[in-house]
Amino acid sequence: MYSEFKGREFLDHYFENRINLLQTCVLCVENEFSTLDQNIFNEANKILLKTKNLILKIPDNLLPPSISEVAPLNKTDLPQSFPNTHKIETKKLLDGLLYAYIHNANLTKEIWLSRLIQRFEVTKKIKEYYLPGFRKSDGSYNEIQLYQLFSIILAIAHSQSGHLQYLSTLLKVNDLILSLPVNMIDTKDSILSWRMGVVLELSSISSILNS
Amino acid sequence: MLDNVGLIAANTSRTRAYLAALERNKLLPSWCLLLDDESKKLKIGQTRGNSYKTPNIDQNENSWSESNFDPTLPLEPWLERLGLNYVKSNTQDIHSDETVDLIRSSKPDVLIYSGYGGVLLKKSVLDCGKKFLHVHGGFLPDYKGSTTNYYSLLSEGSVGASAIFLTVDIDSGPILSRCKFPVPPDALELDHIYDSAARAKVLIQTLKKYQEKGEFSYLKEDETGNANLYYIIHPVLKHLAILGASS
Repeated sequence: MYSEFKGREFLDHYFENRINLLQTCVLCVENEFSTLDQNIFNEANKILLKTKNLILKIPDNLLPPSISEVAPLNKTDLPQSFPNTHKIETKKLLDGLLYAYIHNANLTKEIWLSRLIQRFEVTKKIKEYYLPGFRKSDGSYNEIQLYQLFSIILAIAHSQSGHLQYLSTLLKVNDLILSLPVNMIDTKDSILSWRMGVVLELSSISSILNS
Repeated sequence: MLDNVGLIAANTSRTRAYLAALERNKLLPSWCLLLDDESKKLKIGQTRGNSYKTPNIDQNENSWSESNFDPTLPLEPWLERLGLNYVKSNTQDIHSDETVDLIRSSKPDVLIYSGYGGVLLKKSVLDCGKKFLHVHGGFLPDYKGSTTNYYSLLSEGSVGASAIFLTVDIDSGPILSRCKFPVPPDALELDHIYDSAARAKVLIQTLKKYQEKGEFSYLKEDETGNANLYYIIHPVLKHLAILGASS
């Protein structure tokens, strides 16, 4: 709450640190993308094209590749009612949220995203399952792809709504992801396009700084 | 003096802002509970111990008229000088049995709450037969939760304060009074001076209305809009808010 103010230099260090960490994580050039990655890169490209006042130069190798033909994302529905009456698998909830934000669909997406934000802000974890009522949880909190998906969803949600709580939580999720050693970020379960969550965060911060 | 109104005070900048405003506006409470002990451990909202000189402000006209207070002034001599009937809890814990007993046995029905930051009142306190008048640092219901004035500085270039009676739900009690304020003269001092000054100003508005009408009145429901809940702002956004307000 009372974190110390360290001036403009703090922000310069933040940009530099984020980009250096991303560079150490992005080791190889990708050329084959899953449908999920195609959609995430495509959405990130659309957002970056619309983002104005960028004073930060994001290195080219971190930017999303252009994809000529994007396969449609499989539709995943969000749970029908809140609070949930059955155990929820967080991966499915995140898939549903990503679909809803990319396609601007489903009126309950803000409610579900707010609940996930609440759980993350209170516990600093995302669990594999949430029990009926969405307070108690179950399973592991070490599934990197859940954090990566959450980061991407928050970045898209912030770009669509401008809601600063999404950006604040995005910064915290990305702090957490980037605090891990590279071999824990890039696992077989990782989402290849995960860095888009960080790239979009950087562009948002840069845009606010220059506005 | 307000016979039916008491004050729960803590060793914080906010309590000093309230006390200065209450004294200045001749709205002193009839009883005060000071939540303090000899502990040297600083709690959220406690003063850092350094003084602050408010920039020149017209004390009658300006939005920041309640920013004229000394955040380092010792509380007990101040309470004694004012002749306030006060008790000291000898603990900073508002939920201790002794403190709850002191609150329950106090005369006023309404207690201005100025305890330590980051503490949510539990049922044991909320159910002890008193109403707790709290001024939230943020414009309600748009900005519920924590560090909301940094969020509103960033998104609309203003800060806010709202008076409510506390309930078990965060910042959800009926709204008594609220106000938006312009960017403070020194955004670096938002935490310790201007957030407290905004709250003090709304507290005085609320008590003046009470004094005039003889009862507390609420805003109509259709004036209270949509709610957003905020969590502690990330330091990067806090820096952006301060830099933006200072430019």
